[in-house]
Amino acid sequence: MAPWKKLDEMSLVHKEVTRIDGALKVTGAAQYTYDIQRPGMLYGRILRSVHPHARVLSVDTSKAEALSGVRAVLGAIKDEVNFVGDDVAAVAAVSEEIAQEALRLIEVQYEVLPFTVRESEAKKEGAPQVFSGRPNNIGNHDERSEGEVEKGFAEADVIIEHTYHLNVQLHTPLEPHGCVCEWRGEDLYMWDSTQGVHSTRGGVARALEMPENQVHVITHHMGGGFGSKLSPKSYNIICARLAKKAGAPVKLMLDREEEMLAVGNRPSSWQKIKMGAKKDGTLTAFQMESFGTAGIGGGAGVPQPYIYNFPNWKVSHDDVHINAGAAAPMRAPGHPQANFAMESAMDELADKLGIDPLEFRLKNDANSTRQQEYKIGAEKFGWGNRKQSGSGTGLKVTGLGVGSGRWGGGGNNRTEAIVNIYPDGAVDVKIGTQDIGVGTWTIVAAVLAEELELELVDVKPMIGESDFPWAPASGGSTTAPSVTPTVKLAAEAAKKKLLEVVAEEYGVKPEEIRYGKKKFTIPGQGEIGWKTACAALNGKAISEKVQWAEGLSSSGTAGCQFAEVEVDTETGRVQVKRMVAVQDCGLVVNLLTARSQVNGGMIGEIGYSLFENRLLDHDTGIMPNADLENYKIPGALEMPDFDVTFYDEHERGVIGLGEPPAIPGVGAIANAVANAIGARIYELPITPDKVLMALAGRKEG
Amino acid sequence: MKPFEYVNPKDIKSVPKILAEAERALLFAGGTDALARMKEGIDRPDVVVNLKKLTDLAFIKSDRKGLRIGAGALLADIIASKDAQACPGFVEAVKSVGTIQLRNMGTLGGNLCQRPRCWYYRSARFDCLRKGGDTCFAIYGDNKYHCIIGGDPCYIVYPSDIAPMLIALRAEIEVVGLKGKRRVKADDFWVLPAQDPYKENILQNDELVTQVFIPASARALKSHYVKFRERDSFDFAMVSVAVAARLDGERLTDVRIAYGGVAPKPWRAVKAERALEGQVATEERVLAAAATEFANAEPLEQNEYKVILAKNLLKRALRELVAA
Ligand code: SF4
Repeated sequence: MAPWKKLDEMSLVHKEVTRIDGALKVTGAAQYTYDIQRPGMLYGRILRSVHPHARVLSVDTSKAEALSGVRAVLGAIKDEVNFVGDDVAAVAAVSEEIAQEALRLIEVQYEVLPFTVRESEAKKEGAPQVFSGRPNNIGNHDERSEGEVEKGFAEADVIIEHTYHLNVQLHTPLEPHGCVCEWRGEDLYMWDSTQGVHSTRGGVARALEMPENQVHVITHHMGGGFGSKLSPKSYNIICARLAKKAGAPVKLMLDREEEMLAVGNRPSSWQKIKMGAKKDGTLTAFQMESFGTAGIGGGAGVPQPYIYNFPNWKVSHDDVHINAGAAAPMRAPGHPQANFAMESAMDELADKLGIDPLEFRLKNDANSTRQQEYKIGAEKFGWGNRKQSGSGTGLKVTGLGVGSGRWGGGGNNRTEAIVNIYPDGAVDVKIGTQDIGVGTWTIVAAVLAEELELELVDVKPMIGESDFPWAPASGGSTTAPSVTPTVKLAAEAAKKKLLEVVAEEYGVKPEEIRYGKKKFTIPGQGEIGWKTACAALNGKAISEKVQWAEGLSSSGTAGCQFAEVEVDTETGRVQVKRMVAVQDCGLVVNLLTARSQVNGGMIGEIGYSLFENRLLDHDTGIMPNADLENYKIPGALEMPDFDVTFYDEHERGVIGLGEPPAIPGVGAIANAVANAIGARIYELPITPDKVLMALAGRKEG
Repeated sequence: MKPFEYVNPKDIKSVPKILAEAERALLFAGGTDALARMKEGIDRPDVVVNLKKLTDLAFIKSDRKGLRIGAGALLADIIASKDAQACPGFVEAVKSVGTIQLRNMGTLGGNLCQRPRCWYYRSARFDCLRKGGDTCFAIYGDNKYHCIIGGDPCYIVYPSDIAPMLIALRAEIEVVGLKGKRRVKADDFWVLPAQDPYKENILQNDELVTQVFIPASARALKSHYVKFRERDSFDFAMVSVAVAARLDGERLTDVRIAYGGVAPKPWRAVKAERALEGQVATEERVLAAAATEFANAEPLEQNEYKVILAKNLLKRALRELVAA
């Protein structure tokens, strides 16, 4: 196995390469699941529970079935519904409007059960039970510790204690979940907006109890998932069953409300934190009691103590169930929550100690990469301009903040790819990965062309189909480190084969041939071009299937971000003015899309810290802001200047970049706000109402 | 969406009859609000009356009496019109509506007759008081964006940006119904829920807004609109304020102040007007005037901040008005 070439020897990897599917996307030619049209296609809709908790006594679909244009109805999908938006029944009809109208005609009898939608209430004695047999609605309970926390606090000169609270955030992909199902004989073809064509194939086959090789999942272009689309959900199965029953293809795309209720969210988090340090800034102890809700799902834990060195620490956590849709992984599960609380607490402690927050971090962060990143970032950002918290006067006050993150992001050793070289010189690669919007099409093509010393236009990447060799679902920042080494190795194997064939054809040894830039130099016989060489294949294509191997990728990233905010003291509005990110991810495969990835992470952080908040009405369990007017994601006018620096560790090979940039800024923004207004807001999102009340509170004393 | 009859009236005069005869009619101009309500199912009309083809609703004219704008005029056209520039505060208010896309589609009449944004009202899942149910979900629910004054039994805020400015400029609204035309002061056009919890204005079932008249006296006033939104890219006002006054040296006269985002109707701040009439708008005096105005405010659990915001925005609006 050859290592990655030297940086200055590469022409497509570690360069700024524009997306090969860019033109398709901006012209509208790229087919997203939403765009798929099949002959005779019907439209599916799901009837969803209006109650947060109920037993489904009966579902009468007769009137819906009688409606003209309705082609299939599924009644009574579940016996018990656990949240508003849970599946009850489904229809397929010749138009979406008729399908929608048919849902109105389905008569459901419920036995309404007690429910709870506030995690702080759900964990109390006697609260309504989301699931029977889980007292106080406690799901997973976790306790971890190291050292002796009491001793650590005894050694501390300064201690702070606060509760930090993050509300539920939603993934909000531009393209909601949805699929198109078409049966061809016994085989099911499913165009799905998924982050994993293979994981979806497996999940669908299991649910429908059919052989995996009869399920074919296709995702050529998809409009975002952020972790919510890693595996199939009930809509996939409902759509497949509707299509079977109707004997026609069915498209079932979720609308925005369904997207917000039923297919994933980022868990809330309450972290009661006590933290101590010595006068000289050495951290001594950390203690946390936390809880959070993942709705009817699990996974609200946070990886505390995050980032910094605590010789003594103790944490305990409870997942609390409420009657809300199950959480799904979301861009660095648990990490942004941990980051917000930890970075806030670090700044509070630094303030109390009278130490500069960055100095305090440098002192307590053992990671050597981040040590360098802090310095690079501080320089670029102008950290030296940070003023004492609350010292600003006037209508607008500014503040600076910093935060850090870490992630794994290694490759999956089971990833496989096939590279084909055809007798006419055509080249392709087949790999069952998918491009979830981050530029996977482009890096697959770039790595293949780089290895074969061809141009981008000479190679054809083939991804997004479950009939291609296995690759992992795009989650956990694993795609680039899984896919790029595998494609490189397969290309290398195919090139070797090609050299063997050419050598035989021209009567030389393979190692005597010099290859470079589409030219084969054959001793004594001069130069031949790529096409001429491939003609030696004599009708039979080379097809090399190769599995991922160690050596071209790594796992483990550090990273930090700096934020400058401006707070309008008359309105409480926080505007992020600038963000500086310093991030390592080993060998950056595409400098352009990598930068987009970091920008996107920071946009998500702005949404999380300043805008987004999934609400549930206390008395009805209904989400009142299940739309993009009231569930506020930041828009173009909320964007600051982004400055991205990649900390060069290319010798480590490729490391994933999906989650790392979506972590550090959350705490950085919160700290910048506290620095600006001289008061800390302990609950995200930091909205104008909270800022105004905090400013009013400060004035009063 | 329920099937409906789509009617193209031949002229304005024929609209009242269509409205009166239909069981549930819906006026459709820009459609930016109407379509959303139909999709959500909170409006299920039998008849949709298309006003887009009534070109005589889409004029912008000015003469010595004042500025007349047809209800069908597009917001984008108002912003671009030379005639409207004589009332800068009015143009500011129109510019602050929605987004470029919405202003390209939305009409003046539609903006003035839009329905509330209360999320309980907007979601078909809640059968709230305003929709004929028996509860207001906002009183004890999520009420951060609701009103702080003039509520009971319904706590919406009226969402139009243009409405407060029309009140500040002493505009009038022309309405046509079966009985003919009538002209109503903008100040009297919108109603509080105590008067009618199901409607936001005085329009009868057979009536539609046909034009808005801003008197020539407005040209002699300085006017300014300050809208605060949580998200600049697209948002309704959290609180907004329209101010108009004559500047006599440093003193304000003929002061008119109307708020958006604080009450179920555009809220004319009469007490604040009185406190500021003939005065120099010092910061203390403006804050005191606003405090008088909102002394009787009854914020809900989550919107006490609006009292602070309302005071601060008046301060900002008058500061900027005087400086302009
Ligand atoms: S404020 Fe008005 S519209 Fe909103 S829930 Fe209450 S009654 Fe309905």
